Amino acid sequence: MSLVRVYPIHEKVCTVQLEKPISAATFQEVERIQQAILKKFKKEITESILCYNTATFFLQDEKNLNAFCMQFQQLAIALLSDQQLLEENKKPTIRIPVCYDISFAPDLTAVSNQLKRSKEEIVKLHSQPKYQVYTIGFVPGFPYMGEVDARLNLPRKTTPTTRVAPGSVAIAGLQTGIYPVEIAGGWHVIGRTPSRLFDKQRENPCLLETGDQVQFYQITKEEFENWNEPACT
Amino acid sequence: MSLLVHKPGLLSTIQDAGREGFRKYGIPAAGPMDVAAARLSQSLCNNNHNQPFIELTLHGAIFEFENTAVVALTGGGATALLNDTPLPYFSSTVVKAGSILKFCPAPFGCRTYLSVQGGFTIPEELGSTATYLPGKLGGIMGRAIKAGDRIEFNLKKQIEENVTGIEVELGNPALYSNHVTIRFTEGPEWSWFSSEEQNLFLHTKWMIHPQSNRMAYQLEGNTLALTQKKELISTAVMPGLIQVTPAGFPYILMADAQTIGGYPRLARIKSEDRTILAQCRPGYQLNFQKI
Repeated sequence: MSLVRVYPIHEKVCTVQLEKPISAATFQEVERIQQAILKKFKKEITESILCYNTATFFLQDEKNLNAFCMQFQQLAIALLSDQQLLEENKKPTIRIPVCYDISFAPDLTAVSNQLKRSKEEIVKLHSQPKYQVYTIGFVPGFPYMGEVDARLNLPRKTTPTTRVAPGSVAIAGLQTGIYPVEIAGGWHVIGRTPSRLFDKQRENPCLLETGDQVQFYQITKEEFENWNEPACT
Repeated sequence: MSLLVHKPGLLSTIQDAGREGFRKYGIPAAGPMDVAAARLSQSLCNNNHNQPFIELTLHGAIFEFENTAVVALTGGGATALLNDTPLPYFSSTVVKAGSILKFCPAPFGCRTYLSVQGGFTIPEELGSTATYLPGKLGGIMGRAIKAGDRIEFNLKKQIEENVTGIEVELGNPALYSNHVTIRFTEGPEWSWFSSEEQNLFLHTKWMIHPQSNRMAYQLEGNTLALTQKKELISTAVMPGLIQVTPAGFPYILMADAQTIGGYPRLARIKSEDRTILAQCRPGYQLNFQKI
């Protein structure tokens, strides 16, 4: 079975899919394929999005969609068989402050009880790893990041919370994310960031982009309340 | 120059051709549900396709023109009265200052497009004026139009009497029938469903569920089970794809659909036929035809 599938999802949109499970390595492979395709078909592609194991390309028009699919597949297969080592992700790590104080973490106690681990341990396990942003979606600016330490693996809530506060940092399965706006959500909220994830006034409206590396660091309630957002990068 | 909203109706939003280029931030294009009708209303006003217009849902809206305008209505879902006199769709008309435009119930269709010559004056957000309600973007402060809103427009051209009465053929079956056929091709996960389930999809008379909106139409009539308990890794989705939820309900993604999704994509609607869907209201019956 081929490791690469290419198929249309619209008359002028097609997706390159690696038949591999979610991992940082899979994501980096698909990102490499995306870069190569964008470089080669600069004029023909208007927009592209990455998501875990897929890269999706929006073409100028509907002409020759099948021909593009075939060319994208050939390029992807050639890249995958290329044994050259993947380059390290050179993007700078984005540090995001998180306050894990119970007043900002409505689900921390329940998570602690379900996992039978102390709150301190949960905070430590959550803030230690460097996360990969696998995609942005759900609502504008919501980053899907992984992988969370397996010791924090919890299924989503069976009933979503009606209103999750903006800035809420949450976990579900092996993923972690941040709610940019107030919205209903089913992930477990264990902290909150004072950083603005999405601001339509900014030239770059999203704080995070797909492909970024993220490192959380703990701040106190006082620091959160006195937080002055520095100019965004 | 302005239009004053007395009543907004069920849901009225400012739209334009849509917001392209921000999907990587989780922002879909939005724009009109019925692209063909929206374009036609623009053409009837001599506007370009990206000028802001109003999309109305069913009936109930009452607008007052505080200044004279050239107005075109297309689509369906309502009948229009201008100062209590029927105002035909699919033509452009000079509407005098002080006129009241009222949208009354009609048997078919779902969405009306109201364009004014010169377009409405709406500030762009991220390159577009299209309202995307879930992201609170575009339109009037990211929300639907409400009573009391005064929507400015800019009539640049000299009004000529001969702009009225441009008749255009009605081409959308959902504007005169509540039972329509929608063409589709296999979706990326079509083969995840057994041939029995595929046939069930093809031979069911589906009904549009009341909980359908600009993001998606939910279909009722049957449930489709997956042959194998496979899980799709979330990936890009587009308007026109039909996703099937774990409970077996098909959802057709529409103009405001999220940019990524995690449910198997059974089918892909022919883009042209999304304009038919846009004019289908809850309770309409759908048949799917494979192409």
